[in-house]
Amino acid sequence: MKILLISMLTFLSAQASAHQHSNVQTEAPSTDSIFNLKSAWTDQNGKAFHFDSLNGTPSVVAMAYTSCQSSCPLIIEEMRKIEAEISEKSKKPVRFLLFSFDSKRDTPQQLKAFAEKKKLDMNHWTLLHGDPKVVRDLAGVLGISYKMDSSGDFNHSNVITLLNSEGVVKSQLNGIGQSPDDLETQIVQIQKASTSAK
Amino acid sequence: MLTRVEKSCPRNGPICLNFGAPRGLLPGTNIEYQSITMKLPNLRSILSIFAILALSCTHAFGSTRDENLKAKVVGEEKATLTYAPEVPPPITRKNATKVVIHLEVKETEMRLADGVKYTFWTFGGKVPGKFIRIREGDLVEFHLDNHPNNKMPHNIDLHAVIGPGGGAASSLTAPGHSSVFSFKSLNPGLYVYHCATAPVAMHVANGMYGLILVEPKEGLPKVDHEYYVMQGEFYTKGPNGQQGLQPFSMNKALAEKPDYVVFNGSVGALNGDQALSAKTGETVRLFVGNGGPNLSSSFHVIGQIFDNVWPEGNSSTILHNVQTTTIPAGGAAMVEFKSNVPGTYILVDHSLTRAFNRGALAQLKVTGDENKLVYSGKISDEVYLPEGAGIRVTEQIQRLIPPAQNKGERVKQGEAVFKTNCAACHQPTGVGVPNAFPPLAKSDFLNRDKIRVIKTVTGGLQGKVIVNGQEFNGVMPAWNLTDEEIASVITYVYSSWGNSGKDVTAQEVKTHRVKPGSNSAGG
Amino acid sequence: MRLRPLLLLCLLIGRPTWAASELVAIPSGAYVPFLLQSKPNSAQDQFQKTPVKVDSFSIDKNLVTNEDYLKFVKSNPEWKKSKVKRVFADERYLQNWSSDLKLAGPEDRKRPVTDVSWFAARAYCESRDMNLPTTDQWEFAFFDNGRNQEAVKEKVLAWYGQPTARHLSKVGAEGKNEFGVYDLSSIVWEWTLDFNSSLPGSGLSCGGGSVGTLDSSDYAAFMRYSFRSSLKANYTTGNLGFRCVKEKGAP
Repeated sequence: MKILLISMLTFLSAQASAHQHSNVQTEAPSTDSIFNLKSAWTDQNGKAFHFDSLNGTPSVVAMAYTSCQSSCPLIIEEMRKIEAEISEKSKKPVRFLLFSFDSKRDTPQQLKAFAEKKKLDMNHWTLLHGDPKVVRDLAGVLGISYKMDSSGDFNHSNVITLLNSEGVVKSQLNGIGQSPDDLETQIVQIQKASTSAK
Repeated sequence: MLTRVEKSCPRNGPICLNFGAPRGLLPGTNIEYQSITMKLPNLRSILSIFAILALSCTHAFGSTRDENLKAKVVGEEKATLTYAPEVPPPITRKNATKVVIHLEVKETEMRLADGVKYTFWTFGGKVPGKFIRIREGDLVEFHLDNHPNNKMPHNIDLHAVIGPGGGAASSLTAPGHSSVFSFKSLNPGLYVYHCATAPVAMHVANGMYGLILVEPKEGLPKVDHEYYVMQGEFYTKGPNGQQGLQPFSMNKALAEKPDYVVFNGSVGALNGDQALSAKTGETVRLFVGNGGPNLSSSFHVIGQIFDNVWPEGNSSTILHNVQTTTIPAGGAAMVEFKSNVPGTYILVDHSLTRAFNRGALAQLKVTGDENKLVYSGKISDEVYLPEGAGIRVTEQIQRLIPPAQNKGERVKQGEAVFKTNCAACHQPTGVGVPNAFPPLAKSDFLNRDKIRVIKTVTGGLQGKVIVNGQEFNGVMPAWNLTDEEIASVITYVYSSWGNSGKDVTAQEVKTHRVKPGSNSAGG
Repeated sequence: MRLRPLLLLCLLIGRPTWAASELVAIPSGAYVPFLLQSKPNSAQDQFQKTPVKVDSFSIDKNLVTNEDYLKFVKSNPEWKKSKVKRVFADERYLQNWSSDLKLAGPEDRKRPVTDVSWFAARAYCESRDMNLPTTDQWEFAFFDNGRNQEAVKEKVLAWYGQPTARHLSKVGAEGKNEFGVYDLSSIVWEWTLDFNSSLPGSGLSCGGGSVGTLDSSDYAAFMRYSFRSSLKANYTTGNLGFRCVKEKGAP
């Protein structure tokens, strides 16, 4: 019995060191990074999404929902504006992500239909569905306030967040109608930095 | 100014400008001229015109909002903040700059009055909050630091800020954290700042207010002393004076019934050793704020007049010669005066029970030479006796004639007395006036009782009398005459118009004299 | 082949068994929240004072103590203060503890744990198959079916009016309300699951409007809502602790 136990433990420690080796290849996310969130989201194509898939590109992130009539369309337009202006300033990729508050109604199919309706460039855009817990996690990290009302709609603050290539929040536009110029400058800076790092 | 056409400029006389215009005709006329002389008023008049213009002109200090918006920001500096009653030194730079301000919120227990403690919420550790001094056009980077030991979230609304909440919307800060925002100061003036976290009245009632001065680009006129004074009220659970740590009373705050109204955060904060000071001949400027939360202040310095008041904290209009200026809650004013006379001057809210019962009282001690011309102090102390009281009339009356020695003399003197005092009513012939004044001639009332007559003349008479069968119901006044005079006039009456001829002596009058008003008819 | 060692590993480590923390059952009911719901598209009378229904649930009788939290950290080393990620807890996380697994002193064992972030508090509750209370659940427990309202307000305002004590009281020191829940008014602020459900502009900052609040003279409630809206999920403060709830039928 003892031999069995010892061999088990040896095996396990070998496994542990093997894990360490694999960790060396992909660095652990920095302490400020959103990649530390191990939440599971699903994109509009039904594919599983993990935050660390954003590694290597800056991303512009917001939370909204498809049935939203008032501020969400404005958020999306702001992001589209940034998308257009960035593509002029730099040819490098930037990702645009929209995470839905509405776990119940914004299923992946619903999100896909919405994206088509809005004619979003799906090379850049990703729309995401998650359960209420992961929604709350993300809102916590991004500092977004929200509340579901009695009709299933959401009151929420309007925030567009820029994450750098390591998933760290670089800046935020709080409220509708903020000038995205600073944010765009930062995107370009991030892209330059990651180029020189390579 | 063109007074007349002259051949040339007179040598002696008013200043004149000879334009030496070319010879020709005055436009629109057929008047020929050789030279046009402009007669200006003389030098004295010119100077007085300038003086009038200068005095009547209100100097508009400061720039406009647009100018400040465009003002170029040069360099960067860390702000000097001071505790009341000190203020940072006047700004000397001629350009706008970037000013970095760190203001820490600290909740701390301190003295409110003797034996009375309170948990104050403060900007910088004391009430009022630290004084901030910047220049119009400055770009301020504001750090609001909420000490980790605090319980409450706090933010700041500076009345000098143009923007949502005056900064409050961008500065809600949890304990142990810091918020940063920036603003450009577009308007000069003296402004209040305060915490605006809900419930705002409670945050302000706990002491979260202070002043920020945005100097106009010209700076403020130079004075010898500048001091920072801020009024506020406190609402405690226990009544004024109850000892120990007093919690905030929400009910009293809602009813606007404070227990304490004080300058600079506690009763006596500027009294005794902590009094403000100045010397005679020096000018003093007070930056006075009112944090409220509720009451307006009627600010006055006892024994002084404000030579200048910049009301509402504005920087362009100055009022002169003001005794008491209103400072609304959430408002401020700058006041200036010169100290001419030494002594202790009391700053008060002239809503007096606040000053004398709730603590709205501060001291400014002025030392130096006396100035008896401006104020003499007490010259003398005298006894004061109001007129008429306790003075015997007889002693004051000058005796015009020597006292009568006999009946004959009495009659003669009495005639004069009668003419002066009695004839108006009883008539010179003594016949009286029917239904008004009884007759003295052959009067049965008169002749029957001499003593009664003496009593009537000395004491007056009122009520119904029947004289010679006729009824009279009037008032005869008491005569304030000497014994001699009364004796002489009665004697005269007795020896006139068929009366009994009795004699009345001064001694008899003295004996039978009665006090005025002690007679009534019925005799 | 890997399954067996992993299974053995699980057996060796085992799941920690908590000393069952006492729970209080709160019956279902309704209360009108301090921040009123706004009616959509109405000009007049835009706020409705409709009571919010709260389903029955169980809540920790007491605040979570340092002792409780220490057990959790021992079993969940990613929550050690030297290991925790900044995105989940700020620099002041557990700063009162002398080290990763050591309290400042034995007296701290029964004191409520503070300097913990929302992520940390929720992780703790989840490790016990529980959750943080929603704001409605917490406020309903505090509401205590409307009993002793004035006395409670006084107690709360008195607490706000005192500076932070050098040492917090031990749990239970304040006493319980009629539901049987201890220390809701005057020891520490408490995390709720949806602390970030008060929107900016709902009148809680910059002027603290009385528009949209149930009772604008309820300064105590204003404070609570203001405090929650000043927080972010990774914030920690020395006056902020938490307790957990278990919903009926919740997994």
